Amino acid sequence: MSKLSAASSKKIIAGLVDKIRQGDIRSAARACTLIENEDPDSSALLSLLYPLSGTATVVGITGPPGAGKSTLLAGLIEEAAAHGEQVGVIAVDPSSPLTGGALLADRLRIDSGQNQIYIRSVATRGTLGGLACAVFGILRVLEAMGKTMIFVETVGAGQNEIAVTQLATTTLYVTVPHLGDEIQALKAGILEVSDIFVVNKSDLGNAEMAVSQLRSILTLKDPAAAPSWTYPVLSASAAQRKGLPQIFKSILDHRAFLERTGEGMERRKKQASAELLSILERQVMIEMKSYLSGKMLDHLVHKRQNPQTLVKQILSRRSRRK
Amino acid sequence: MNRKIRVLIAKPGLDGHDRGAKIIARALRDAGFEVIYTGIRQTPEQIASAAIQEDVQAVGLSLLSGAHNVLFPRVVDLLRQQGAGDILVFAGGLIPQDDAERLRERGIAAVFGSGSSTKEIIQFLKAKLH
Repeated sequence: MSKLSAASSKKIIAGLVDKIRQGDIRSAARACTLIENEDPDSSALLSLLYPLSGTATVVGITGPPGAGKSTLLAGLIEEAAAHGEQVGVIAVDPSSPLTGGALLADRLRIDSGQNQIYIRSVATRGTLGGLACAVFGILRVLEAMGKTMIFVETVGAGQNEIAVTQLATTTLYVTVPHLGDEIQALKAGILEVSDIFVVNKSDLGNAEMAVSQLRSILTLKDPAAAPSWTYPVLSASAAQRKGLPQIFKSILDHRAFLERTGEGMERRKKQASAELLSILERQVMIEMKSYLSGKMLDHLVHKRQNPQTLVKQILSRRSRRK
Repeated sequence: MNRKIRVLIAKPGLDGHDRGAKIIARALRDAGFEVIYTGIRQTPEQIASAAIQEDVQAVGLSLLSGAHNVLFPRVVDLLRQQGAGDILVFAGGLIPQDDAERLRERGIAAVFGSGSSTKEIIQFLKAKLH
């Protein structure tokens, strides 16, 4: 695509966007690839998609590995589709730091074969913090397709958890009994950024204890932060399809809460900031890496220079270049 | 650019023996591919639909139960019908030589019978898809 003239590229991209708006799956899929690959045309593509964004409820699903997020998601998707939502899913999995490859296996637990539900598996491709900047772009594609509810699933572990909450309008934190929830919740800061809490695998027993532990932690939250949201803690067994309608109802309640109060706008601003920063970060990192050299690393390892000095040198070289 | 080759590995039909498919999936990941593994008991329709949504460059079908002559060409046909005929379809499993020949005529790019090495498959894909 990048070998064509600028004018033809623009025309092709505009054509692609039209097709996406008509719901053409192949076009949407190709667009996601252009964005993931950081294709030269992806910038123009994203500019055309952006005005169409902000229309979907984005539900972030996070929580520790093994909590049953994918299975829960499969059930929630059914509830959403039955409720008339146009559903999209972005399932994020880590890329191997060694080989650059990835095994994306969330789909197999989520996909029931309904083609109206668009599922895209995304590998992090070496982004620190676990949420690829491309995910924001893929969200735009799904919104342009007309999706009204988009679920974003990621592996919860520190930074990853926080990252998905920046993308989402509603965040679901999924855990299981016996994981020492009190300590988990206090440590990761996830309390402050999650809206709905689910204790999954209730069939394993002791779910009620986990639920009441979480509830008591949540009472420590600053009441001024979001005064009228109740921070529901629900128990469920995704595998047995129990508790799903209640969780879905909470998602709808939260959507209504965001619309009713000023919180919806606050969330959109946070999303906008996160998106801007993630794109900036990516551009800057690509640029900065070009300044590194083997000689520099040698100096560092042999303590002939320290990182602070080198950074100053790099930055001043950069500003001289501009 | 941050390009990766995306491949879908699936088992159509009712065959539940997925060890081979999983070994290929992991080997491809170790070779730098992004592998969408959709598991067992997939219909050709589900496989084609997933391949298009994920915009993969290749689909690897694995079958040990003998239904390959019906199911594999069906995947190829569905992809072509939906404007995705450029997606490479390759196959593996228990496939007799004669069947392999016929499958290639029906649009399967390569058949890797039991005993094929993961290295062979990786080299093939890298050459075809660069």
